[in-house]
Amino acid sequence: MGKTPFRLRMVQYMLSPNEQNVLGGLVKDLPSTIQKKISDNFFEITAFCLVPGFGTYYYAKSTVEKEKIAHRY
Amino acid sequence: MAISTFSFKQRSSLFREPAVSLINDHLIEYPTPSNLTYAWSFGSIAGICLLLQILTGVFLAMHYAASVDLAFLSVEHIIRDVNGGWFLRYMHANGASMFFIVVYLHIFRGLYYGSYAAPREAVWCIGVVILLLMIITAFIGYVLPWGQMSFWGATVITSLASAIPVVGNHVVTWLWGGFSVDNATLNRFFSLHYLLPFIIAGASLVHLAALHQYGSNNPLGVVAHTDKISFYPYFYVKDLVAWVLFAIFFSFFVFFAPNALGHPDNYIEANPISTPAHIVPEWYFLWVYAILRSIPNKLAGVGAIGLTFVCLLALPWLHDSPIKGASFRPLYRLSFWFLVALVFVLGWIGAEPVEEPFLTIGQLASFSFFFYFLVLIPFLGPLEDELLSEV
Repeated sequence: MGKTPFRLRMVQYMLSPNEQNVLGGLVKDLPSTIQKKISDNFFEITAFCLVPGFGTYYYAKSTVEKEKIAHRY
Repeated sequence: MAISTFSFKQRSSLFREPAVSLINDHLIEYPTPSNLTYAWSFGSIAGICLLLQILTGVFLAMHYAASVDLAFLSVEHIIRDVNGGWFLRYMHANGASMFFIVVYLHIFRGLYYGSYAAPREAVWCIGVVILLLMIITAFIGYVLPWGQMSFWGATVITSLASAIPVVGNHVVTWLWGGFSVDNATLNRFFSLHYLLPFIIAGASLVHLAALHQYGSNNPLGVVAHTDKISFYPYFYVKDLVAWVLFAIFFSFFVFFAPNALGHPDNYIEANPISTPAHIVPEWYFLWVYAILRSIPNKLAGVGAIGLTFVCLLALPWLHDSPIKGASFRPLYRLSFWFLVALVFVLGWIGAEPVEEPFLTIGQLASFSFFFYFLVLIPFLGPLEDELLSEV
C-alpha cells in the first residue's frame, strides 16, 4: 500500500461512473488535449526523434540506390 | 448495489477478512494519484495480455503435438480443423506481439516519467526481470510451430552460447539435448514455454506488490499523498477505456491481418538442409538482434546483449537528478526522444542484411544506445542542475 498518512474516505458505491460523467471530459477535451500534446512536444519529437530516424532511413536508402546504379553494368 | 446494504459495522468486519482486505487494499481502495494519465494504463493492459496468452496457450496445447514430425502439421490442424482453432492460434501469435507493444510502451512511460528512480528501484528491477523472462518465453514459443524461421532462429540463437569460453560447446549440446536442434530441443522448449508464463505471472504479482509499497509515480514526479483517490471506480473506468481501445487494435490484427507481424518463411516446414536467405527474429527482438550483429566478435556481441540488460537494471542508480520526470527536465526530454529514435533505427537495422551502410548505422546506433545509459543518464542531471541554477 502507498503510505497515506490518513485514512481515505469511504468509496461512494452509490455513484455510478455514468452518474459522475467520468467519460464526458475525455471526449470533450480530446481535441484540445491532442493539440496541447503536439504543441508541447513538437520541437523535441521533430528534431530529436523524427529527423534522426527518418534522416538515417532515407540516407541508407539513397546509399543503397547509388550503389545499385554504380554497379549496374 | 448489494454491498451498500451492509451496515458500516458489518462492512468493517468483512473488510478485516484477510482475502477481502487484500483485494480491497490493492484493487479497490488503493490510493492512486489523481493525475495519472492514460500512459499508466499499459501496466493493466500488459496483465490482460499475459492472461490471454496463458488462456489461449492452454487450449492450443490440447491440440499441439511436440514432435518434429507432427509439430508443423498440428499447427496447421489447429488452424484448419479445430473449431475456433484459427482464432486461438492467431490470438496467441498476435497476442505475443501485442504483449511486447504494450510492455515497450510501459517501459518508455517509466523512462519518460522517471518511474524507475528511488524509491521504486525494486519495481523497475523486477520489471526488467519480467522483460527478460518474456523474451525467453517468446523466443522458445516461436520455435514450436517448427517452420523454417523457427528452426533456424533456434539454431542461430542457441549457438550464441558456444561463444562462452571453454564450456561453450557443452552448453549448446546441453541446451539442444543432442548434437543439433531436434526432437529433444522441441520437447524441452514446449515444456519451458508452458512453465515460464506462470513464473512471469508470479513475478508480475511481486512487481505489483513492490509498486504498492510506495504507490504509483505520477506525471509530475512529486510525492503527493494528499492528492490521491481510490482506485475503484475512478481508475477502473479510465483503464476500461484503454482496454477497449486496445481490444480494437488487437482485433484488427487477429481478424484482418493475422500474419502481418509474422514471417512468411514460417509457413514452410523446418528443413535442416535448407537455410533461409535471411534469418530474422520476430519484430520485437530486432533491436537486440541489431546490437548483437553490430559487433563482429561473437562473444563481445553476446556480452553487448548482457550489457543492455545490465544498463536497464542499473538505471535507478545511474539516474542522478533530484527531478524524476522529463516534464521538468528539458535536456533529458530531448535525450529521451533521441533514445526512441535509436530503438526504432536498431529495430529497422535488425531486419536488414549485414552489409554497408546498415552495418555502420547499426554500430553507431548501438554505441549511442550505450552512451545514453552509461554517459547521458548519469551526467545530464548534474548538468541540468548547473544550468538551472544559473537562470
